[in-house]
Amino acid sequence: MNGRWYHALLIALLLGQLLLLAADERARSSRLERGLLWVLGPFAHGVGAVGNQVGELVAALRSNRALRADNAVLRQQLEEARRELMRLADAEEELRRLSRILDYTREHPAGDFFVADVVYLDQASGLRTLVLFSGNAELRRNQVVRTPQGLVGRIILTAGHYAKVQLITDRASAVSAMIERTRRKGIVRGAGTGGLELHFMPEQADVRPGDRVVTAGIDGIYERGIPIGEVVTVGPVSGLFRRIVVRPAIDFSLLEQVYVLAGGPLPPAMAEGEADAPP
Amino acid sequence: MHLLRFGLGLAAAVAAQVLGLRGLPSFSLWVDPILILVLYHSLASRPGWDILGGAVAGLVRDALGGGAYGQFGFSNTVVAYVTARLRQQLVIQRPWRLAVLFALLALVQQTVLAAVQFLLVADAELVPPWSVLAKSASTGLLGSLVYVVATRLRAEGGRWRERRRRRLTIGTR
Repeated sequence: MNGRWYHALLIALLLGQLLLLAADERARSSRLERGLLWVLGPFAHGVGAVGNQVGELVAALRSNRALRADNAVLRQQLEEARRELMRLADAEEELRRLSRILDYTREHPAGDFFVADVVYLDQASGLRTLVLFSGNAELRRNQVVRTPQGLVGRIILTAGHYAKVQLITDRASAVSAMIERTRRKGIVRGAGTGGLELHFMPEQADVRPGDRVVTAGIDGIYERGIPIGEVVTVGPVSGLFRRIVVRPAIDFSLLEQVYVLAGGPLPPAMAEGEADAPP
Repeated sequence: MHLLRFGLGLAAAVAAQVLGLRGLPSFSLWVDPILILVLYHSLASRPGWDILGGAVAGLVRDALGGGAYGQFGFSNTVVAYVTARLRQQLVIQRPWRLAVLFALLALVQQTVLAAVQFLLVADAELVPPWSVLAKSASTGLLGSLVYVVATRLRAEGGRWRERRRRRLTIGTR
């Protein structure tokens, strides 16, 4: 390749990538990105599965004795969990009965979610990415991803049964939230350090370290009451609002499986760009 | 053959990235296997393939990561070009000098990446400085190791093919 063609190719590549960078967020669901995720998702899934198998085999060979001890402990825990399950079933029945009395109806029926495997997780670097594999369940943009402990994020890109999730710790993420104790509402955003910040809390708001922060359910994406985290520090007033640091409710580095809330149909404006066509 | 070799290298780099993150959650703050592939590929391939390889590997890295799509594509294309230019100017044989070159090129890539994020991405989250240094050091060490091992393997392969060719030639006489 002569010098002129080489430089023309270089300029074309750089300009093409600048155009990709300049595209707005909705155009993120570009065919190119989706197509690559279509290939990389199964590949990462396969590599991860093989890695897990090899790791488990090595660990099993190394720690046979420890496994036996663990087995005994787990059996005991299983027994305790069964007892706890029975107790919870009773409590659930009681809750149903009381709900009927109060004429309380949930927006989403119980069981309106499915389990998804975490295929790729990079929560430490500034990229904060999570790729999911849902099995046969349908994935859509803006579906909520959570664990029993708390909120993980929302789906921003789908490719077949794989999806990319924007974590709540991402700086571009914003979740309507409230202090559970006082019901005071604000916006939780990623702080850029793996932590969270609660914005738009005025000076007179009653917020204390240790307060639980949950979703407020007014942004049209996250339903109300999902734990987000706990207030760590309440800073001095800056402008009109306080600077409040929140510790996430979940340890993102330990995520292996998550729940994806199936959710109802989105409003038309939010459903745009949700198409999941193959590239 | 060239394309196949690059594809296999890219698959190995992605696999290393996935497995690394499974073993160590902060892996991507320390090591960038795809950058090592880009640098090696730019040093070892023909003009044109070097920057194409950089762009493709960068876009694959972008697809695996969050943030603005194209940031790694852009920075890896630039660093592939710089590497290809240096390949024409320099003859480096000692491993430690190779390690320094890889580390400096990793610094270039991360500087371009930070500049792209700063200029084009609203409210961008920049990588901590210690991570830039750690990634440069690891790229220097691992990159030079990969380069030396791959060069020796290619030389061994060449010698093996030559011996086989001679044997076949003798056999036909």
